[in-house]
Amino acid sequence: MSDNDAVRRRLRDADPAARAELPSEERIAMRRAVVGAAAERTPRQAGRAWILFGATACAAALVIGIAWKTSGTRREPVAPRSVAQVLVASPPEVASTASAPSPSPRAAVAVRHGVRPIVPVPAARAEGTTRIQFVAPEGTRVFWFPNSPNASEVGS
Amino acid sequence: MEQALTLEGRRTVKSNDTTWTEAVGQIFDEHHARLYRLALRLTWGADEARDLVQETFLRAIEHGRMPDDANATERWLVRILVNLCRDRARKSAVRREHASVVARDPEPARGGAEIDVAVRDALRALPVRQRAIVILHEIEGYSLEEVGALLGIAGVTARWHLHVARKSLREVLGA
Repeated sequence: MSDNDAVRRRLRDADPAARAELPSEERIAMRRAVVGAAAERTPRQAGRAWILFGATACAAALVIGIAWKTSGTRREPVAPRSVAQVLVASPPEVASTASAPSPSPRAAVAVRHGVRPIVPVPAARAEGTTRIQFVAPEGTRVFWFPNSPNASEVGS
Repeated sequence: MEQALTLEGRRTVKSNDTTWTEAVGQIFDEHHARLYRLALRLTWGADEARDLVQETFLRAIEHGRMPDDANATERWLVRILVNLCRDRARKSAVRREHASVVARDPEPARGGAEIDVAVRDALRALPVRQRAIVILHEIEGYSLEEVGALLGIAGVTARWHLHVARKSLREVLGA
């Protein structure tokens, strides 16, 4: 007898289900529970179908509503502008700059060069203010010298 | 709701609500004893085996339809039962790990003789899939191809699992 046969024999001898049966009252109770669950299962599927149908209808209504609202708020088309309006609205002539020398002196045409715009230079940094305080027995006096170049020069 | 059910490979039931429940009852009658024995061999506990059988049928009902013939139904139910057993083993292992409480031995099967504790412990030490392969092949007499079909794995894979399980059992049982 091989080792595997010995193990098999021992397993079969120790089989806990060799003579085991599900007791009849427990079998009946279990059958009732299973069949009851099966009976509940069917209407639940029908309910699910209704839920699915309702969800689809809601989604369709939502899409239609959004589409309708979007079409209602669309801008009215603007009438095309007349030629006069276009001329008036056209941008002002920009001074061109010479990009290349003229091919001949005769053909030279005066070119109005563009003018660099004057950009306001930021104001120079304000110079400091000098404060001189005279202390005397009669009282204290303070003199202010705005925009003074240097306090040491003023004070010297 | 129209639902096609084939019972015992002989007749097809076009089910409305009533025939659906009748078909479920019939499938229960056909398969409960075999599933109970398998559950008992896997768990070595009568209470746990009863729970497993009932939960197996409830899981099967959740799918809303059954396979086409009796053999496919049996394979499907066995696979559900083994997977449920694996889930439970995994959860109880995690629970034991966290609670560090020694698990109480399950209620022994009724009508059985003296329990061979060594065999029980050796089998329970195996992973559930290996345990199922050992039980189906060595005790219930299925071929490895049939075991593979029952568990949804290749026959070669079942053979490898059996080899590993036999080695573990020989070491533990000293056979």
